[in-house]
Amino acid sequence: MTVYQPLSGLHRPVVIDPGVANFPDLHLDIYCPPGGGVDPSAAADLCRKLGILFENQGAEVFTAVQDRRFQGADLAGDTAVLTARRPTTLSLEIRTRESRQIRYPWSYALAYATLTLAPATTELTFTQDVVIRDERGGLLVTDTFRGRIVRRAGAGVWLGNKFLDWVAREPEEELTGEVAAEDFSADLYRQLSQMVFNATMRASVLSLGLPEGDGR
Amino acid sequence: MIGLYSLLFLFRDDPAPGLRHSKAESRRLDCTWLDDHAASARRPGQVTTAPPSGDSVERSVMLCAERLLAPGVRSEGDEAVLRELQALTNGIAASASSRFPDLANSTWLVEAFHPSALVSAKLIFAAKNALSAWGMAVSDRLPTLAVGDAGVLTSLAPLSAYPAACARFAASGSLRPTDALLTLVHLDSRETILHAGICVNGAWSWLQ
Repeated sequence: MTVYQPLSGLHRPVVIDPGVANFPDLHLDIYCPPGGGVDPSAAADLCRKLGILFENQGAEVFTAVQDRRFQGADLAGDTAVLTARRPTTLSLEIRTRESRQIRYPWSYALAYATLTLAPATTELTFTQDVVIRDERGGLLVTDTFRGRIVRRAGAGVWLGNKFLDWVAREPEEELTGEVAAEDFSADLYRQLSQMVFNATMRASVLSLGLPEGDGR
Repeated sequence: MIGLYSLLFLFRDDPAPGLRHSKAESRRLDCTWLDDHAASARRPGQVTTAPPSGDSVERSVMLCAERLLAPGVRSEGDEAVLRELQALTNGIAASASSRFPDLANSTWLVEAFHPSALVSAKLIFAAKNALSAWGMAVSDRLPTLAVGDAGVLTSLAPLSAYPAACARFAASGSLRPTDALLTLVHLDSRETILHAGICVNGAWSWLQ
């Protein structure tokens, strides 16, 4: 069973609704550099999902695993579209790294001794640094998210939690299945949507990348 | 031994969701990993540190702080601003100080425009504290507009209204040449940041 716990940033209050068209006039470049324990395919997958997130909110999105300003067109997205794109308004870079990984060897021994009635436990703490810049590279918004993934493997913990999910927990409190991944994705998408919205507002105020006729 | 360990392991106070904590309870906490000495300094007497001679145990401690108000007491928008109030206002004061060093001897007036009057009051108070901490003189006075000016300005778009109001403050003498007006603005109900502008001698500048 995998459990997700937001440590900081990921569960901050969010006002924006990622389910509506928040960015009809936005051109967004998304960079997801690999490294820090994240391999290129995982980085590209993250970029692809974030691209869909912002496209669904009305933005024109281009994704890459490296910032084109420094690395050329090493794209996770469609290179043909890149050449025909309109000028970028904002760029979002998200760097994920594993901060610490802990295995509890005693828990493995205990799981072995109890035929997995006691769980074998590992946990991973990760950090995501997010930076949003305007098209000239000016810093608009930056934030750091930290979260924790705890994996408890064993028949006892799985059966116990499955039983509790069935008989005692409200649907939003359930822990088994793909809930951890879904909760983390929901948190990340909400926070990134809020950050991009805040960045567009700041860009407007600072007259950096204002949409035409919007008070500039 | 195995039994003792299992009790310790299964019933330690881990803030992750599970048998002891619901997801809602876990989400009320802001947590961070610290080494044992840093954690002991933050929570004296609650953390056992390694002996001075050292040992073979690598200790790390997760320290958590609970949100001051339970979820739902304040709106998410108000909570987002007020939760970061000190950092937001300190950042604005630092930015004002570095961008306008020649205003160090001015008298700073602060006004705030937020949909919630209560939040506006808290913003003003926090901003004045932050400016004071940077060595600037603050005043409770606020510039005023004539009724006719206010009627015109409220018909303008926000990004145009603040510079226009600034010019009127100076022209009417409501804002003195030795004054600097810091204005905190919440422009859109969907944002969780604050914008700030400074009005000096009728000239308006957006800080952020």
